[in-house]
Amino acid sequence: MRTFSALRAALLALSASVWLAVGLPQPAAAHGDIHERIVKVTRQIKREPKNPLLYLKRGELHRAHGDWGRAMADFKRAARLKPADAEIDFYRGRVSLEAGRPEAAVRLLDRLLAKRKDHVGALVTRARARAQLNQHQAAAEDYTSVIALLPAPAPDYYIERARALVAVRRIEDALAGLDQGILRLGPVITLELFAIEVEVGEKRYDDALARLERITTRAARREKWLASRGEILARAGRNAEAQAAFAAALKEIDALPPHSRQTRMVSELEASTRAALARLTTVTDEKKLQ
Amino acid sequence: MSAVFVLLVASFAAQAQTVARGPYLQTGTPTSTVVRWRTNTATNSRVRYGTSVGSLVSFADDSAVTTEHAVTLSGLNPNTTYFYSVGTTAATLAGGDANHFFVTAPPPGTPKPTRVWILGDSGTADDNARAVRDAYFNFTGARHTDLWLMLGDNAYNDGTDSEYQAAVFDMYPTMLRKSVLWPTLGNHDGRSAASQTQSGVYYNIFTLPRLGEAGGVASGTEAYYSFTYGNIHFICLDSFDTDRSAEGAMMSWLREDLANNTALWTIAFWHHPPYTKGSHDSDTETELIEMRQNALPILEAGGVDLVLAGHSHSYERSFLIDGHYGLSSTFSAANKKDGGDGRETGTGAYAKPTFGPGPREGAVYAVAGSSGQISSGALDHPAMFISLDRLGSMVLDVNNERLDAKFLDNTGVTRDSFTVLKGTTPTDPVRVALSRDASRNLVATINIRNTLSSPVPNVAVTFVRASTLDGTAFVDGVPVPQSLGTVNPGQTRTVAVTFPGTSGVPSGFSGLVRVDLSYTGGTFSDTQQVVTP
Repeated sequence: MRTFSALRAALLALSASVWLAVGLPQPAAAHGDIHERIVKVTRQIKREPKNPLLYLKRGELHRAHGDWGRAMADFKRAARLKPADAEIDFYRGRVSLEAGRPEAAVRLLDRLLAKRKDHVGALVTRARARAQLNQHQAAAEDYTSVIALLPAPAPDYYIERARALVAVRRIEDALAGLDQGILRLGPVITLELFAIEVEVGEKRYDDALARLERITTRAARREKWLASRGEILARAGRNAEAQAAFAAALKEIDALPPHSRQTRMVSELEASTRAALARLTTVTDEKKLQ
Repeated sequence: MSAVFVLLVASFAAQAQTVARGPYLQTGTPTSTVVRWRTNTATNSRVRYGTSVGSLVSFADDSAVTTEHAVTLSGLNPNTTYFYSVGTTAATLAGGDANHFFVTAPPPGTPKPTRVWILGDSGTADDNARAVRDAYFNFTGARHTDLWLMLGDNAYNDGTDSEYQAAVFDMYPTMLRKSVLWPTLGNHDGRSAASQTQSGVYYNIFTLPRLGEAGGVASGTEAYYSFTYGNIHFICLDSFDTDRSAEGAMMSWLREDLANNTALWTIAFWHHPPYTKGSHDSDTETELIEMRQNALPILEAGGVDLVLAGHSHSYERSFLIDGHYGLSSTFSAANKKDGGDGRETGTGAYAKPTFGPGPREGAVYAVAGSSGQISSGALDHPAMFISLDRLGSMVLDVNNERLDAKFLDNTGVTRDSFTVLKGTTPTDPVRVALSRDASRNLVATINIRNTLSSPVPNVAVTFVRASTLDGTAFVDGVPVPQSLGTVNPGQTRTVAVTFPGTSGVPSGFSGLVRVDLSYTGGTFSDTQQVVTP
């Protein structure tokens, strides 16, 4: 059970864009498609042309619609009306990134984060912009800041940080970061699978297999993981063990009730496992002939 | 005097403790339930519980002094009714009566007749929502609701705490305290909450599984999760505030969750519908397009049976369809696994051959976003069998291989219904499903379908017998009606048969039901294995 003092701290660290969205004037039960909502806000702007919140609101609608140019124009107007509001740089930075301008995004977000270093939304957006600019080290640092600020970070942040660290060949740090996420969030399958992918990519097959074994132990259905074990062992050139793993996967499939075994997913897994086993058998036979 | 003053203050403080919200039930599993409530002043927490209302012999405590209480009861027995009360270690503040109870989920994989109530965009906190609620309460009567779903936009306009109080806690107090609520985040809820940080009102209010606690694979986040109830696997996705990309964490998790799924039924739900032409258009809106393009291929390969969403304030229900991920203009007959109405009294139930997750056998997609308001729209998506601009909610009744769905409007009229059958092919002429009547006697609903290409005249049910697997014990039933007249090609007729004196047959008992038919030119007999509810 989470403690609510931690949640209150999280609320304080919450991306300010959420608060701003909450504070924006909302028509009762606003609905209809985006175009209609843009028309409604435009009418409001005509009545209140100096209200920066309305430009932000319309800019967000343009952004949701993929109209980056109009979104940026509205955010710029909001900035002119309220130049002291650093938050607007977050809106501009985010739309810059989505419009394919990561350098502009980083400049704007640097400016905001100089004033508000704990702005989670800005850190995440800057991390993603930096990753696009191949500034992976800096991106990883931003993700680390985000993870430290949040009591319950989304698994995505651990994976994105790991990707950035792998890109700069900080493999141990990438894996340590994923393990940190597993420790904190629990045995989240997406973190575990990415860690296995990293280990296999580095030819650290025993480490990958150890991780896979933990997943297999917990799984209700083992056939897929046993087949994965076979694949990793085959990549490692440990053919006899790979054959045993594939055979074990096929045995699990054989033991499934008919309605499970006959599903296409299992049929395809069975076919691919048999094919993999056959390939290994051929390789083994060829070696024997030599 | 000062001691008297202290006593008076303490007494006043004790009297001032009241339950301001709830109690309400979260993350129910076969062996555990989370009981939550809010008090007006900070206290410690105690839930007292037991299997009879006058004897709450067990208790679970949390010593933290708080106004937001969340106590997990664990070590429970599956499929068991527990009565409970909430309060402090010193006092009971609510419950301890016949109105405060819950029923734990059945063991995974166990078939149990299950009723699910589904609300979408219900957060208007007004007479519309009340009418929809009351229509369902009148419909279900004394029949317990096993679980219920909210499809997002649970509290208008911004999902604030006070809006949740009005739209959820003050609107459904009786349901909240006896049936576990499983919600998803809508765009309006998202105005006061953030999935990437799992903070804000929605995440404060709900306790949802992150680590596969209720079945399914650990997601690490409450934004998307799964749970299993008996032989039904439910998957909740976050279509609003989580990365919807095909290679993102949510879709990666979804693939693994489905690969791990062994349940007979798979039902997915989230807020933004992949197909709609209501107050939103799934051809033009990003969230809807991305869910259709990225989530549906995974779900359909994983054998999903039913996908529920809200967002459009209407009711729209598809044919049994598969493989359509583009614009509505590209939807074709090739995407229809069954282009009929899905009604046994019409063109026939939707039949899926595999008794379990069957990839690419078709799914029904329903938009049920009219539980608080209606907002019109073109309502002409070609994937839909029916589209209605009516207030209402959905009801699912799942009984082993059979799923019956209804759209119940705000006046209590059933405006749509459909049935999905698993483990059958369209050529199976006779299907039997068991239920119980008010006296707990077994009732067989027998569906007789003409799978030939010509009408079959003078169809009559001549003999129905329920027996043990070895036939040593049996009871004959009387079908009503006996004579079905002519059954046309593709048409299904339904016969109800009561087996008297069977109230003592326990649940989960395997037996046989034999059905003999006569018709002009011949007879037909079929025996099917069934499990008693």
